[in-house]
Amino acid sequence: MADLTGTKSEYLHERLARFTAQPVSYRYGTVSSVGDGVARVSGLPGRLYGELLEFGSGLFGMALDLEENGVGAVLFDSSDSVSVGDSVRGTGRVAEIPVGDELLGRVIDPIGRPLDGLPLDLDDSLPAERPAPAIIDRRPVDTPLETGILAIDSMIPIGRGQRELIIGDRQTGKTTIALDAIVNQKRTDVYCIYCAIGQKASTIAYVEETLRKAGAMEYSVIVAATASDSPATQYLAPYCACSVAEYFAEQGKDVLVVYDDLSKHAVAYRAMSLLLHHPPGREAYPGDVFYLHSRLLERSAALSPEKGGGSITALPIVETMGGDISAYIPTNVISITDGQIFLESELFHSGIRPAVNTGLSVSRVGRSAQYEAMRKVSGTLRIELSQYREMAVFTRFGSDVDEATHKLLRRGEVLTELLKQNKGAPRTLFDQVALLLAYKRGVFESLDTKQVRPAAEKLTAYLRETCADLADEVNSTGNLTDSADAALSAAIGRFQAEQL
Amino acid sequence: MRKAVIRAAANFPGDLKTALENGLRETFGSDLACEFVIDDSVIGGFVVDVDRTVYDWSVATQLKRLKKELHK
Repeated sequence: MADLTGTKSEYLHERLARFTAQPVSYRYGTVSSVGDGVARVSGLPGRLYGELLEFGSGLFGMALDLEENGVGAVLFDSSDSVSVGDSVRGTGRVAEIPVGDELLGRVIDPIGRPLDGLPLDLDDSLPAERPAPAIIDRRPVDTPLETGILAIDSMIPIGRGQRELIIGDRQTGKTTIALDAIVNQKRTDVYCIYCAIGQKASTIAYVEETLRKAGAMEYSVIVAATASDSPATQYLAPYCACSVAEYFAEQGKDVLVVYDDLSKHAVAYRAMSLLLHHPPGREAYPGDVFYLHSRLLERSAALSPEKGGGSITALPIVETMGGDISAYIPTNVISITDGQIFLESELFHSGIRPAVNTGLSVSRVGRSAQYEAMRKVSGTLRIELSQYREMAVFTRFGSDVDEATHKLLRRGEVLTELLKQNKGAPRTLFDQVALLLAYKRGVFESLDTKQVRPAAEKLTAYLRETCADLADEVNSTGNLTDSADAALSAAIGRFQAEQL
Repeated sequence: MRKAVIRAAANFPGDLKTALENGLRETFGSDLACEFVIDDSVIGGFVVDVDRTVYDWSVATQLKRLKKELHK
């Protein structure tokens, strides 16, 4: 029996004294029809658009059809437990997600319920739909977000506050790029949010395990709506994930959000709209499917110093069918984002991984989102690769080529090999710069194609042993001073002489 | 004819019942049929349901509010 003396008793007395009994009054509606995840409620005037409605204990729906005599709501959970005649109450709240620092390391659903089996108790919450930062509250994107992937950081650099789309067919490495980018933030102060929309639960478990093993869960949050969740839950997921990102960004943090993927998000929204009898448009998507994504992605920005100087970088993922980037949803999202990383199946299957098509990929923020050191060594890469691609067709016919063309082809082959990277193996800025400097000096040109990658690994290992201080300097300042350049070149020269 | 449903844990004694009915008719209009229902879950006090609006003066709800308040 608890001993109710002393401070506990005082505390209770004080709380009880502060409590006043007050009558509670509320309006309710009645379910007039229910099925397919949609419930029509009669009565309940004065609802907010997107308001949460309670259908009996713990069952919620979102009011999306506001009519004169009733409300159409999409249910978050199965419609089995709702019957015609049930009472429905408004909550006065629109969809919101609990937020707090305790979210780091956790896996939650869009309504904030924990999916990792541990309790979660947060005081604050933010609405899922929030206005994007005003023009005056933004600053230009000027700080790199390093993915640790050489092909991206050198030619399609991403800045903090940018939206960069990862687009490609299924199984081309889209999620891998996003996860590698998250894992690479272990070196930085960037928080990460992985939003899974319509994925298999087994895939989400794999993502969580991958991040946990790499030590990335400490600074990450996973917001997950699986394929078996209702369309309404899948629809809300990215907005809720963005609100969590905004919670951190508004405190001055830099945040990376991955939306995996927006194609499934559009499909869930289409299902909801069709069930609510909204008129279908192109490919049966509702007319506001562009706005669905534009309002989400506009919330990613680099905030002004007055607003805390934080940022939200978005890596939305879109899946294409048969490489068709001119389909409806892909073209929509391409026109919204500040560039795309285009992954191709043929490249993937021919062993080029990451399977980045450097010709069609672009970062519209570009080189202002690169560290000085990287800028110095990566200037000509795109042109060299594009010239190589044009010329490479000749090698297929085994025709003789002149000296200059032969050199171009050789260098192209070497560069292609250097750009290949294993998954889960991000490279530091120093390693990337060193490899590109070595490439520029033609260090690998005399090697057999198959030996290029092992030689590259040997070089980075050698530099790790002999140039640790130089590496620290480059990694922390982002600059390659003339003396550092000279020192690095000398070290590369020594490596070439001794080891190759 | 509008209907008011009054739920309480016990039967209303005669004079209280009349007073309540009169009060409700004053607020909602004279053409009001009052139905009294026994509901233990109310514990004490009563709940009035009229025109799809609930006016809850039950002890049960106040206890829930108190619980929420103490948990903060």
